This record gives sequence, structure tokens and C-alpha cells, in this order.
Amino acid sequence: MKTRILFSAIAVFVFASGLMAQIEVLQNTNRDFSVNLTNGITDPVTYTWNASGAGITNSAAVNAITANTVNVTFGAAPSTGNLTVYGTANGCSGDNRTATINVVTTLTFGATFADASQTVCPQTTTNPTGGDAAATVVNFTGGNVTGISYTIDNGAAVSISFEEAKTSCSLDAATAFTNAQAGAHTIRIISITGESGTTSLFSAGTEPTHTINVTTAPEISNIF
Amino acid sequence: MNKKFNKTMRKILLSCLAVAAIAFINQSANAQQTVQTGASVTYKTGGTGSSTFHWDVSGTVQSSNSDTMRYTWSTVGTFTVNVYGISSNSCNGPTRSLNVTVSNTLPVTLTMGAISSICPYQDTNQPTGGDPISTLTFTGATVGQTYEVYYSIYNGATFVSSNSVSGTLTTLTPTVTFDESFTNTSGSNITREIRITSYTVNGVNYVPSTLPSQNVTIYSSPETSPISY
Repeated sequence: MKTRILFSAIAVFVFASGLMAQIEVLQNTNRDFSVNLTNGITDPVTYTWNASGAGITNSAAVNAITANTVNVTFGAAPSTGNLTVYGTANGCSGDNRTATINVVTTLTFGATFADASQTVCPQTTTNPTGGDAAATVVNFTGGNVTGISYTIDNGAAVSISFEEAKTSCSLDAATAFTNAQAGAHTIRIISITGESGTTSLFSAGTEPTHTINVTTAPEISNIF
Repeated sequence: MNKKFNKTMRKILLSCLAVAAIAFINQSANAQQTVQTGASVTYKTGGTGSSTFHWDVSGTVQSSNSDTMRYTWSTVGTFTVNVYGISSNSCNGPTRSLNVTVSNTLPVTLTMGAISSICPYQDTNQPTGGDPISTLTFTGATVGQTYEVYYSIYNGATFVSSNSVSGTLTTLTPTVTFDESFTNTSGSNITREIRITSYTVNGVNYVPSTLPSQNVTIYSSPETSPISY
């Protein structure tokens, strides 16, 4: 049985875990960070961001933003930065959320897909299980890995936690591409977390990728 | 040790005092209370070693044999509430008494102003939140007198806690802060009632027949996910 069930059960947005998450990024890159409301408050919310440390070069710009997403630019390695945010509604402020960022020249962890691509038939009425990419092996470098996060076509990030640290995994992304989605789709690994708790966060364009080529199934007319 | 912890500890201590607010019995002998006719008052005593209690009001034995006794004052006059404990081997302890004057009108009355909606307490970003503020009006008191106002918090009909606020009257309309540190992360506003159960001015405790109360709306603080990327 595929491991998709396990993966799906724990698939969530990728969060910098804990109150003081350690994130490792490449120097001179940038990345979006965001938070979401979790208690369903309906009043207008503004966000107070506080970026600090030499590792973040656009702190002033980040600190001026009141939206739930900021784009952070990292400086030269080695350096560190801290990113803190809290929400305010009705003049009432919530808890801080914090991430600690280490700027490095080379990420601790890397990953390579065993296969660069695969081809799948689309999901149709006569092929209801089609459109689902087969599991593909991902080999890690840099040490034992306890979890990864990935996106499909830059959509919402999905995280996977391993019950035991490992140096490779079988990534079985749950997809259901249809005929209308024929063409190339990309799985991107956006972060890798190791046993030490360090998360290597890939900058845009440097992520390990795997391409899913969805073929076109024949479409025929009604019987006449 | 943060403010929330300190407040919690203070509340634990004040829970005894707040009980005393509705029951002077365990204070010094012959403490003084003035009650408005129609007021229902719960009296309480403390101490150790008692398995049952004996209550009477000016000699009329009451049915309660616990450490609390509720009494509704319907007759104008001067009365004494007495209580003593009885040990498991039937030994009576010393009697504690409270002198109660019952009148149709209280010489010192208290009203409570409306309470504005407040932010909840949050230790880092809202450390002064969670405390309702109201303006009290003492009628019949004198500037310079001391006061202590005993109150209970209710969530609907459910009792939550008791506490008190005290000071010296620099004005007859002091603005007081109820040290509650209400929290609310529910995502919706919540309402709590602050009900004054009695008040003491210059050592005399007063219990009105209609207890002043106000509702306070406590906004929810926005709770966010950890930072995602």
C-alpha cells in the first residue's frame, strides 16, 4: 500500500514549527513568510511584523507591512535574523509567532528526485484512478531527514513528517489531474528538516523538482 | 513571574476575603454591617476543627449547619448574626457575631457606571488587557474615607470568581479597575457580568437589596498560526 494515506493525514500548511523555529536560508535570496488566523475571528485584523538582525536586509520594509504576508530579503552569510509577528483586532493583540533565520552559503540539506519526471494518463470516467502521479523516490543529502514540505505547481505547501529519520523517502503526492490539466506539472520540495530541527529552506528556482507530464486522453463525441 | 501568575495568586487569597465580603462572621467580634430590607445575604465562617455549625439570628436558630448561611432581611431593626462550630465529639467552639442593622435605605449607596468593552489579557502584547474599568458613585460617603468593594464575576448565571477592589475616596466618583485579567482567544466576543455583592466604607459593610452590576464585553485576541513559508 502506498504511503499516501499517511502523508495525506498529516498534510498541512508548512509552518515554522514551535515558537522559535530555526530556518536556514541561502544568502542574498528572498522568501515570503505568512501567518493565518486560527481562531476564526471576524473583525478586521492587522499584523505587526518585526524583522531584526543582520541576516534580514529589508527589515524596515517588512516592519511597515500590516498584511499577513511579508517578503523577506536575506543578507550575506553567515548572519542571522529574527522574524516576529502578531495580529491585532479591535485594538487587541494576540500572541507572538517567531522564526529564527540563519543565513548560510550552502544549505545543510539537499534532495534529488530519483526520476526527473513521469508521465500519467488523466483521470476520466473510464479511468477514475488516472491523473495520480506514481510515488517517486527522493534521496536526501546532508544527514538524516525527519520531514519535508513540497508544493505542486506552487500551490499550497504540504508537509510530511517521517516516523523515523531517513536518508530517502518515497514521495507519493496525491493528485488527480484531468484531461483539462494535460501538460507539465511540477512537484517542488521547498524545505527539508533534519534531526537537529534545522530546516533548510530552498529559495525560489533552486528547489529540487519532479515533473509530472499529464497526457491527453481522447475526447469523443456523443454517439449518434 | 508574570502579571497573570501574580493575579492568580492574589485571586486565591482574595477568594477568602470576597467570601468575607458577604460574611463578616469570621472577622473581629461584633463587626458592623448595614443591610437594606429585602437583601439576601450569604454569611460564611471559616476556621478548622468544626464538623457542623450552629447559626442563629438574634436567638432564632437557623436551619443551616454548614459554614454558610443565607438570610433574607425583611424587618427593619438591629440584629446579631451568631455562629459557632461544633466538633465531631460535640464540643462547641467560641461564638462569632456580626451586628446587622436593617433599614429601608442605606446611609451610603453605591452605583456602578457602564463598562466599556476591553481587550483580553495577553502576556506579551496586551499585558494591561483584561481589566474592566468602571466609575463608582458613592452617595453619602465622605472624601477621605476608605472603601472596599466586593464583587463576583458571572458568566451568564454561572458564578466564576470573587474579588475586591479597594482604596481611599479622593473623590466620591472613583474610577476603579477590576483586576481580572480576562482572557479570550475564542475568536468571538464574550460577556461577563460584574456584580457588586457588598461594599465597605470606613469599616461599615453595606449590602443593598438590589446589587449593582454591569456587563463587560471582552474582545477576542486574534490568534495566528506559526509563521509559514
